[in-house]
Amino acid sequence: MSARTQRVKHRVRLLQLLAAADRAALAPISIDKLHAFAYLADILSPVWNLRPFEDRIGRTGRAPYYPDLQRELDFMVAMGLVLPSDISYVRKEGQPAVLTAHFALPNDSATVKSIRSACGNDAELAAQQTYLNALADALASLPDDDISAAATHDLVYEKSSNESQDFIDLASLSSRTSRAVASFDKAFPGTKLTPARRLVMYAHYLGHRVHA
Amino acid sequence: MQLLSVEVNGTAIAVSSDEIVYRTELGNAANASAFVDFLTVVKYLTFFNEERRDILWDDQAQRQFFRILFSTPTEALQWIELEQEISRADSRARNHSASAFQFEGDLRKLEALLVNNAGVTARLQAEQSLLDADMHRRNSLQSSSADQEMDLQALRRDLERTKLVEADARRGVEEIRFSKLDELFPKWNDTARYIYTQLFSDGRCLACEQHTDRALQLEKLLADDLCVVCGSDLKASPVPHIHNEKRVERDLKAALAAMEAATVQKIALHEAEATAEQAWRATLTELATVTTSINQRLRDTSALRKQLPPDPADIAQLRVNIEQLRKSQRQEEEKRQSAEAVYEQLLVSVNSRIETATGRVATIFQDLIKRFLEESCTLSYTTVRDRPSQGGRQFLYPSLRFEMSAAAFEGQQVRATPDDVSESQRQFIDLAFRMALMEAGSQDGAISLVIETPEASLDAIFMGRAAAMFREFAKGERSVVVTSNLTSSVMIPALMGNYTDDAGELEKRQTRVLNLLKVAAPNAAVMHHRDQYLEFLDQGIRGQKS
Repeated sequence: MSARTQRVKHRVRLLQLLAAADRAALAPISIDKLHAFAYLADILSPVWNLRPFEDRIGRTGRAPYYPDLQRELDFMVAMGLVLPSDISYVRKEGQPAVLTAHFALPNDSATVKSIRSACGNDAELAAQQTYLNALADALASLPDDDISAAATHDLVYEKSSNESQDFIDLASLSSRTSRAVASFDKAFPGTKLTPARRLVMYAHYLGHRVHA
Repeated sequence: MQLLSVEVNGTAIAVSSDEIVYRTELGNAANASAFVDFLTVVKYLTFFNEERRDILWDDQAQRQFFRILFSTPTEALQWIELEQEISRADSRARNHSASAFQFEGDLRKLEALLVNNAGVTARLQAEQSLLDADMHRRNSLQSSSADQEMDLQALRRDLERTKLVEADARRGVEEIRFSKLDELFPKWNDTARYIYTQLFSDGRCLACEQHTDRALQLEKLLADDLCVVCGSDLKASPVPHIHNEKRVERDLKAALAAMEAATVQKIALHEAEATAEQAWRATLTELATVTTSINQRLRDTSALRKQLPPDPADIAQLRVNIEQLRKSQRQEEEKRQSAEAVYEQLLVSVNSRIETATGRVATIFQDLIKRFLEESCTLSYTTVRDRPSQGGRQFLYPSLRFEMSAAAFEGQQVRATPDDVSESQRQFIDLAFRMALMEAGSQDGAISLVIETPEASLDAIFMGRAAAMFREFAKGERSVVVTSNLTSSVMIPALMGNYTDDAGELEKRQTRVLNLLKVAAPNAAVMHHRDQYLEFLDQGIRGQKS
């Protein structure tokens, strides 16, 4: 896949994430929540029989963060496809500066509407949008502050003491499937749930882990 | 069950746990060659029960009874032993022959392989060399791919780390720029500030994504506190000035340097990852090709191995085995032939006596059966060919053929199978044959015959005729025991003889009756109708009214 195609895919992904967030009343969505949403969408995609969008993500010790995705989000703001709000930079002593901002799709953008309409006509993108909508609904049931924390406490993302790698290979079939399903089975042993119900249950499970 | 004591004509016979002495003594007392012959006679001649098998229409059965009854015990024993010896030798000879035949087939195949596949060994060696090389190459590729995958993982890890470092550095630049823009343009909205903050973070226009000098010029305008839109000197404007400007400049330069370094490293790692992944995938492709080749070569070498010419030593050993088997076969055949020669002499010696005895049997039979059947019946002497083994010589054995007149034909017809007569005829013809055999074979005339419900298949007329046949036979030292149900008004009276009311005669007849109505455990019918049964029996014992 060419770099240009990869960038276009990132932008479509961002539009879908923001549309799902908007539909679930999560928009404007903060950077942390947006990246947490993107991460959980990747790691839980086998539950919906989909492939993860990203092939890997680095473990930061903080909430999940996709630098490439963020860079494309910056460009989309410049293109007028995404509206930023509440921008500020926070720096704690001895730590790098952190951008805090919220993002949403503009309500009156004909371009955005046109792109979303085109995405709706593509079966694969439509399936992904359905999945992202269901996941956003599940995450919306968590308290506002728990969403990014939930991704941080995901069993795969959370770095265990004996974990040698500091990035997650999402493209690895065994890792993405077995780990996600193992997370479910570990959380809900012996249950038979619909995919949407699994997402809700897992979101709540992560919420409990945040406060555990 | 255990045998406690045995007497023969008042003389006690020793009883042991294995019954060997008892069997020997009983066989001797019966003038039988072996205990099994004695049992055969008792089972098939003395007892005539409902589960019997026909012996008149069975040549082998006839032969056995002729052997037991009309040869001396020594001859009868020798007869059996010779037949067993012939059969064993024949069986062994045929087994050796079958094995030799199998080996000869194998030998022919091996000899054909030897001729037709002379070049296979060289081809197999060449193919095996190629296979070994492929295996070696596969091992090497597997090791390489594992190393390459580890390197690739390390590169990916470093790349992800560097991306995060670059993102942090970019945020550092943006933070400084954002603060400056916030102070210079407090009225800008979030989108404008966001765009200008990030406008040049990597020297590229955020709007059109191009690397241009204009972008660098805008960066300089901002650094010089000139308006990025109109170029006016913002120092002269009433807007607040930036605090610690020199420090901010220094920090910005440092942050830009850090970001640039991270970006350079990221690009380098990106390229290294792409190169490493390409090399790894090339290794995997070659590995798949080599594995396919190995599988094909394994199939080829396996096929070649099946075509390999045999080891000459194996062929030589096979020939030796065949020769030994054929030799053993010949030895067994010679043993069989020797036994057959002795057997033939024995048959010549015994058959003349058997033929004489069968004449007596035929005479006795005819005398008995005419009391039962209306048809004219005879037993005619003949000889049948048969052999005591599967593959050995045939011999002539004496046999009696049953012939009987029929309404539809002139003279008598041979009735070769029991199906050629009616069921009741079949029963009494075979019974008469047994009675004739016993009478002809008995040396002192003492015979016992036990018959189970002979009236079962007979009508009233033939019950009387059957009873007459039994009464004729039960004379002198001979005795007949008959079990009969109280279902007929004919059989019991006919067996008893002429009707009588004489008390002495009736008492005498009672001594010959085992009355099961008295000695057996009564069933429900007997308990309810005992008197009627007894009356019926009493009438029967009085005999047949003429």
